[in-house]
Amino acid sequence: MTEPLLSVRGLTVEFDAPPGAARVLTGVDLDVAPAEVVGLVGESGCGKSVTALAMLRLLRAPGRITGGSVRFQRRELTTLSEAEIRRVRGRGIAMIFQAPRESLNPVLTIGQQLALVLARHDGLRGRRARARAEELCAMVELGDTRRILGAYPHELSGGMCQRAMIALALACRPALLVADEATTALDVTVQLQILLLLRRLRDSLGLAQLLITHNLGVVAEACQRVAVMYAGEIVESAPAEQLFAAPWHPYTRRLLAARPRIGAPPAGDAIPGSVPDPRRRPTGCPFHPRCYQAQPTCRESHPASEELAPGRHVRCFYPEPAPGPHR
Amino acid sequence: MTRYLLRRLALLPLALFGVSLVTFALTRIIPGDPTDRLVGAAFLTEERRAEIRREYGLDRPLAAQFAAYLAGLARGDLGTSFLTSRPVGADLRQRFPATLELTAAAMLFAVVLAVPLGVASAVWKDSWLDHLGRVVAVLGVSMPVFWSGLILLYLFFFRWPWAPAPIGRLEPHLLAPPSVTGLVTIDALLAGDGAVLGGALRSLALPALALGLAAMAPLARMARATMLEALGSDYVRAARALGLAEGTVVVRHALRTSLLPVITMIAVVFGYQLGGVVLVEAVFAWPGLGQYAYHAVANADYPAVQGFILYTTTMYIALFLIVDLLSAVLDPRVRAT
Amino acid sequence: MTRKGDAVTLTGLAMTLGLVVLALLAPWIAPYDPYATDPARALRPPSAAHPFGTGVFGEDILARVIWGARLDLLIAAGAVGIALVLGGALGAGAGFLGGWSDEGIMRGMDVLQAFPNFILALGIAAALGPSVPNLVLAIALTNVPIYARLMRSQVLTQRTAPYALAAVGVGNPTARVLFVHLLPNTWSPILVQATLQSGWAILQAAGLSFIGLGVPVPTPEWGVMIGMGVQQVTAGQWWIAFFPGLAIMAAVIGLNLLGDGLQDWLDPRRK
Repeated sequence: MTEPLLSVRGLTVEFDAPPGAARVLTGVDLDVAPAEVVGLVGESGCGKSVTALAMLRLLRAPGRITGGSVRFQRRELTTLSEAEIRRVRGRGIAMIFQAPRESLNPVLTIGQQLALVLARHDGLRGRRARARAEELCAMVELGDTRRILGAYPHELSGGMCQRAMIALALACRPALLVADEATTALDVTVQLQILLLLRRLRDSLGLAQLLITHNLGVVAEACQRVAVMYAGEIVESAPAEQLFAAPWHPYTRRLLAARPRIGAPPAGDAIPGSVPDPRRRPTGCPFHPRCYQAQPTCRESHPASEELAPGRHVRCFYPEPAPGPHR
Repeated sequence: MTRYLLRRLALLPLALFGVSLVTFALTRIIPGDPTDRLVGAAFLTEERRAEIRREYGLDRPLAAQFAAYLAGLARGDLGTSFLTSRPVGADLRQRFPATLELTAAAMLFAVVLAVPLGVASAVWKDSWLDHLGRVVAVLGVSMPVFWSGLILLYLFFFRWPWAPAPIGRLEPHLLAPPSVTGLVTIDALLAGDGAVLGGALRSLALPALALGLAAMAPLARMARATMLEALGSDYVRAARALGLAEGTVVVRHALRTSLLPVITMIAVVFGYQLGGVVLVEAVFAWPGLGQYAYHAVANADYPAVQGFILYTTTMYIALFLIVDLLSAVLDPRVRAT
Repeated sequence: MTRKGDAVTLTGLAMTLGLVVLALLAPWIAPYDPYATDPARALRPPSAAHPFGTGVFGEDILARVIWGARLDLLIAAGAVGIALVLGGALGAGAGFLGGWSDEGIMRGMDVLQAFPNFILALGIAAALGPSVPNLVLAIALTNVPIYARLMRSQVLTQRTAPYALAAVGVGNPTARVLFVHLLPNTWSPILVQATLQSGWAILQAAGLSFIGLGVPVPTPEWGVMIGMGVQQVTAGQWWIAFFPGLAIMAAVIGLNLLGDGLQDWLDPRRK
């Protein structure tokens, strides 16, 4: 594997929620190689968005990083000063969000919002900024450039808002784009268009991407590698094809089985129970209360993440391919 | 935009009609004969009373009286004072500049201090500034304006004599500048008379401060609340994720959206001020609309009170309209509807 | 809610309760008769014998401030109570009947709210003539629209709430649903509003009395008392007007803190 663009190790985040602190992330490991598209999947509430926000140090109080490292282009992000991390945002890593219209300022035109970003990172103003803004609009395939730049978010459709948001994110040529449920709120056809756009951007610009989603269809469509998250940790990561063909972690298996499919009867074996409250984490493996093959060991100790095949990590005492208990 | 404008303007006559109906009804809820309330009523003969009733149209059916009242209003006739026999409208118009000067100065003071305080309270939430803002807000809403006026007088007239006695817009030894705008400060400025300008500002300072203190609280609270909402919004998070400088995020992204509701709040606060102005002008003998109402009330001069209510309420409604239109112009979301 | 918020609410509660106790016990704890005059003791600054000083006629300011609590709290409670009942009934009617009744009632409320609040109260008080009941009525009438709106929006949201539909669905008459199911669910925002509004009522009552439209001189009412000290302030005799004003502030601050606290406390989303 080439040297990663982004390397997250042991990232831990706590929320101060009286009486005690709640651990929302408990040692997340995640890599993204240059020009690679990685999917981060899991049920809602498992910590996907928190991971992304923590990487960019955008967590709001009472959330804070209490351990681990985030290395991006050989720089440690967790210890950068506020001014330095601001230069990484947008310029190194850009992020787009689930609600495209709400993510744009309602009282500024798209052109004005682009101008702010261009002035900030590239020092572009006036005619040169305008030219670059039009170029960006073309890049994200926003039709009538002139109209779009003068439009307010409420005058655009959800899909166009997300394209505009991507244009803002691309304005400063980031190496990595983090998309947090960026297509979830959109219609299925629009969703597909945005995914195709993101793929073209990877091909033409070599833009690495971290796609956060609970939609496995999106992952299968767009990602080369997948990391599956549960209760604040990565439980399995593997090349997308291998993971879909043969999931190893029981949670991944259940997640794939619960996926609705045309022609199949409604998934009767949906995962029972729900993601645990971070304040009341189960002992041992956090998935054991919901796991169909839990053993006494799972209740008592916490499995470590192991690389069982090249590029395949799994955090389970009884992963599927291994005969009998591993170790 | 045009449709919004038209709808808003169409509601105006309706509102004015409703307001004049209520104002008219107010004079009719009083039990007893209206002529009893005239000055020297005890000395009136029955014939004279009947004559007066005819003269004021009090012997006609209520609907006809209301119609006559509305017709008068349409001509700008607000009735005749029982006390001075002068037209109420003319008196009010003559006193309007004094009140305008006072409320404008108070509002200016309040906005200039309260809005930055509210914004800063939101940006540095839970800092000492935020706590200061909270204290100002609590004090501002709980102090009666006439009482803060009196306390200011004690401090700056009696204890540390700086302000003039509470005897109106200019001390008697200063000659009023030629009236151009009717605002003494502006007129003195136009006349280039520094001494009169200074005197006018000194006379204006305490009543404006008393009124302004009360206006600060709701403005600061509103500015803080809307700013907090904007700072916690998705678009501010997105702007931060794009690496914009914090100053840009606060000023260009958050401030812009959060000031729109504050503009509407200014109109609401102006409504409080029209009430407070009656009390403050009474304390400072400020010769404006409020003092007129105060005298009218003290002398049971009902047409004058009625005229005052209608006059100020119309001003209030007009200001609301202007503010609505202004925010429609400034807010692209309203503009689109 | 944080513990700090609790402390603030408790302060508000303590201030309000303190004034209520003062009002209830006025006859026993006031050091002098609030109407007693004594020219020999006129215009004394605060001293051990008269902690708040004496007025123009030698009346004891402290005794009058204590008696004032009685009258001012009574006016506020009366005004808010009347406004609540009248506004609540109008709002519930508008919300339940809908159609033209709703339109008529709410446009009427719009007109009342088109007036600056204090100026409408001034007009009503001037029309009715200066007396305590008229003062209460004037303040109450200006506050009716607030409760009418609140009640109407509550009824509109609650009557389409699943539990209300369910209650009608199993065959309960609509009126029964209104009283048994809806009213208990609407009281908390109204309670908050009533607490906050009581502070306003005290300010309005004091203001109207100050310009001679409410309680007549020399009744011990805080606004009247400030009015009786106006001439003396510029002569340096600050205490006559100062202490009643302080009492107004204490009452309004107490009620506001309490109201804000109740709002947080009753808000089901506060977690």
